[in-house]
Amino acid sequence: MGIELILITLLFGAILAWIIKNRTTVFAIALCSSIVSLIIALFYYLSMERTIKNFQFYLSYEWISAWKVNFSIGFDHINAPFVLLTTFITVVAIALSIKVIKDKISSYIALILLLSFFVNAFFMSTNLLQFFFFYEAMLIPSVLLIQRWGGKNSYQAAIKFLIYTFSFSVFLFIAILATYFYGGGFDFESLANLRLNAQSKLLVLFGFILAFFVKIPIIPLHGWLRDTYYESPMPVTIFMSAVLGKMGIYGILRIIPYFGDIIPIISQWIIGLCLISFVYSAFLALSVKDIKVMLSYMSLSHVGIITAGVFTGNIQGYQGALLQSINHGILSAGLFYIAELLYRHTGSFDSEKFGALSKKIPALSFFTFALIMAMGGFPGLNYFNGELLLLSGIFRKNILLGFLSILGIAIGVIYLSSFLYRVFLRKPAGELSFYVKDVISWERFLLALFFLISIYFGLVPDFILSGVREIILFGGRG
Amino acid sequence: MSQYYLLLPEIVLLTLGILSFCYGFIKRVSLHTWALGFISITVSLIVALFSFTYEEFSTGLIRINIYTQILRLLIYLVGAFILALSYEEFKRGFKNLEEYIFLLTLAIFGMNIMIFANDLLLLYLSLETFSLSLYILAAFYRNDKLSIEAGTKYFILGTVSSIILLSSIVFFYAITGSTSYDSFKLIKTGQITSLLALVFLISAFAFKLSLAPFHAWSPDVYQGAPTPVTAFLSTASKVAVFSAVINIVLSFSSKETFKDFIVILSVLSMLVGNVLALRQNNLKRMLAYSSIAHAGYMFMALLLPENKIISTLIPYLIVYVFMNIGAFAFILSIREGEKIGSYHGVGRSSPLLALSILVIMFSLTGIPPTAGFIVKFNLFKDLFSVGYSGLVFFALLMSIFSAFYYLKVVFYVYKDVSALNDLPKSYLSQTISLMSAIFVLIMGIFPNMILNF
Repeated sequence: MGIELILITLLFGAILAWIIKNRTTVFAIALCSSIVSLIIALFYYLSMERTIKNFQFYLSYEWISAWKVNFSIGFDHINAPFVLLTTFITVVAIALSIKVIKDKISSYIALILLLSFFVNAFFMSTNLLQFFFFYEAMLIPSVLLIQRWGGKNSYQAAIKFLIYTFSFSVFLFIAILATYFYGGGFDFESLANLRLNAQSKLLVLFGFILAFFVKIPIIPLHGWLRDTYYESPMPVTIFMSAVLGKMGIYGILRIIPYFGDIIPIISQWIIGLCLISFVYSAFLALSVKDIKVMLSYMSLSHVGIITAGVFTGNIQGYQGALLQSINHGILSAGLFYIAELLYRHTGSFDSEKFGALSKKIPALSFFTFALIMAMGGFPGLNYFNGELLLLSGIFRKNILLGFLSILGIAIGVIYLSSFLYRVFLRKPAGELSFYVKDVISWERFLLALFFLISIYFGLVPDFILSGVREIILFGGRG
Repeated sequence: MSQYYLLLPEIVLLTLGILSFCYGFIKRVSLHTWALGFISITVSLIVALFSFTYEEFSTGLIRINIYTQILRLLIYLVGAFILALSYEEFKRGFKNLEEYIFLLTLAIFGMNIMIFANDLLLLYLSLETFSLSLYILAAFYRNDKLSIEAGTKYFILGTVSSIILLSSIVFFYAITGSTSYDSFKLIKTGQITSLLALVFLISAFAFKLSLAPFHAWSPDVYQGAPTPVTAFLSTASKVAVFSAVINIVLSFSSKETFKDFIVILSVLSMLVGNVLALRQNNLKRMLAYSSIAHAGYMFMALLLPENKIISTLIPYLIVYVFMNIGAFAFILSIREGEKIGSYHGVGRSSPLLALSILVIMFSLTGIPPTAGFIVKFNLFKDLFSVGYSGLVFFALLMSIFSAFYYLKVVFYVYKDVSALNDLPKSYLSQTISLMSAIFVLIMGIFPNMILNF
């Protein structure tokens, strides 16, 4: 018994939920299996050896003997935080679904658990083939979730999401094939001994980067984002923003140490692109009045700087990216959750129609304020640490790029505070403010949990970073 | 004597087929006829299973080895599935069932002989045996204009391709003085006659495999023919022709002469199949284009070195057959199942059927964890290793196109409507669809079972 229990619990829950049709039972099963998987993930996370760099709790089964590939899963210090995040977000998404999803509940829950299963298996996989297998398999449940439970244009949104991810995964496919033939296998380690010249190696790297940049996404490849995030039901949006985008970041975090010799050639340009994405989508978020679209663009904006951090080539950037992906997952899930709470009784995401809510719903206002403070980089809360690491990484790389990222962060604070002002503080109240109700008890507990996690990670960033203190990056220069 | 033993399943099939035809002709009880036809195919399947040998055996006319025997089993299996699917069709008022079943049996017989043929003349005879049966089967709805058109079109174009094949045989005979595959090794490249022979041979096969630019018949024939016949056309006949192609390609000593043909034909087929399928609203027509595209993918496998051809093409064929059978079974289990508009609400009224078409469509697209991904990956990986990275890239691009039209079906199935489509209770086709979906899923998760050739 080992970490495969996480996967088994989720899969078992999905099958059970699909068979049983009773609404209450289905939710009980879903919550049970997701919480159990979270506890198992937490248990194994905490019992990881901090000093071992390789995969721990490593498990391997014979899978495709013709290609000499084993089905192998393991935890190391890069993927374990992501597994933790995924299992946590699954619990949140299911908890939110109790109020949001009205029909076809058993297949919905089955698909959410299946999606979580695929994503967890993706994060845990220790070879490239399995990595690709689950990277694509994840499309099936997510596309169905968007299409069947989404809004009016969910068909277009689903097909857009599918086509973007599927078509750019072609580059990943080619890159993995190239690794297999020139590196001698599907293991991550074979990326280290690619028998290629620098130019071809650059092409392989570009294959990986193109596929992952669509998934994250980074600006020129973000076409699917707005529609998909907007048309999805809120739990799915939370899952996509908090976890699916992280799949791309995790992929880059995973492969980048193996390309240390050629990263310095291109890193300036890629960091520049990521930061342009950061600033540009911050402006986009500033320009919209719709809360859900604003939060989508906020999510798009922040993944830009996280990705930039990975490419800086120093340990601060790398650590910052890892830490910030987890922080971003938690905070964006929290903010989307709040947007859904506002939407629930009013049926609108239009921030112009709210206002003067701080006295009417003090608890929700408090949590919103807390999460926005965290997101804005308030010291002591979780985002501050990650932002500090990312900024120092980028500044060490290039001062101009550092100023660009400062600009993005400043705009981030502006749109977040203007969101807070418009929705909660502005007087007179809009027409919908009257209908907004405060959070009920157990949802208040969930929001408090977000807040507590934010404080805890703010005070103890070591919880995530302790294993990647002196990771060997780029030929030891890190 | 041993060659009779090896061909025992075919002998049994033909004997039982003729007997059940006579019985059915005299008695005219459709259920009995159907049962007899089913029994004769199943018995031959069992006989083929028991006569399975790991030894290679070759005479002047036939050659038997492991992969041909696997393909023979596959064709029997397809035959059994097609008969099961036809049962639903004939319950809706199908006349002349005994003839239908006899023609089907005869076609299966012809295909199996074609798989084993080691001589161009035997190849031609077996090809005609099953093609003539298929022409009639395609036009089996005698009151349906489309069906008649399908049969006629298929017959005329099929005859042309037969003539091309015959002339190719003549050329080969002129060069080598023999019609056996073994004499292919004697052919010297560079002669105009050998080039002509090769071009004619490839065009004849390309016609049967509906590779572009020889594909023009297939959408109309697929649409017009009775659905079980279409399923049969798109699976069994492809398997048989592909195995003949494999046999011939393996007999050549060097493949340099026709590598370019293979590249051109497969690129064109992938392009035509995937692009023209985009705007189809008739599922049978769409599957026709999709099978053109898949034939293009599979045809690429012939570029590989000898041992790799079998290890990539046979798994692909097996999975392809199950995917297509599943898709056609889905069509048959819905009223007016060809029209994409009649799928609304299927996801709600019969979730298992919707699940099976979901799995099959994702598998046709090539998305894991289905077997479609595994076989495509297997093929592309081997092609990449022998240096066709550009071709692989093109094929991958084309499979992105395919996502559009395959997943359109899935989205239609899961679209919510107020008025549900009340399905006729055709449990048999639904079961077959579900079975193929489960097969495709299991092979996708545990690919060891099909990849070890």
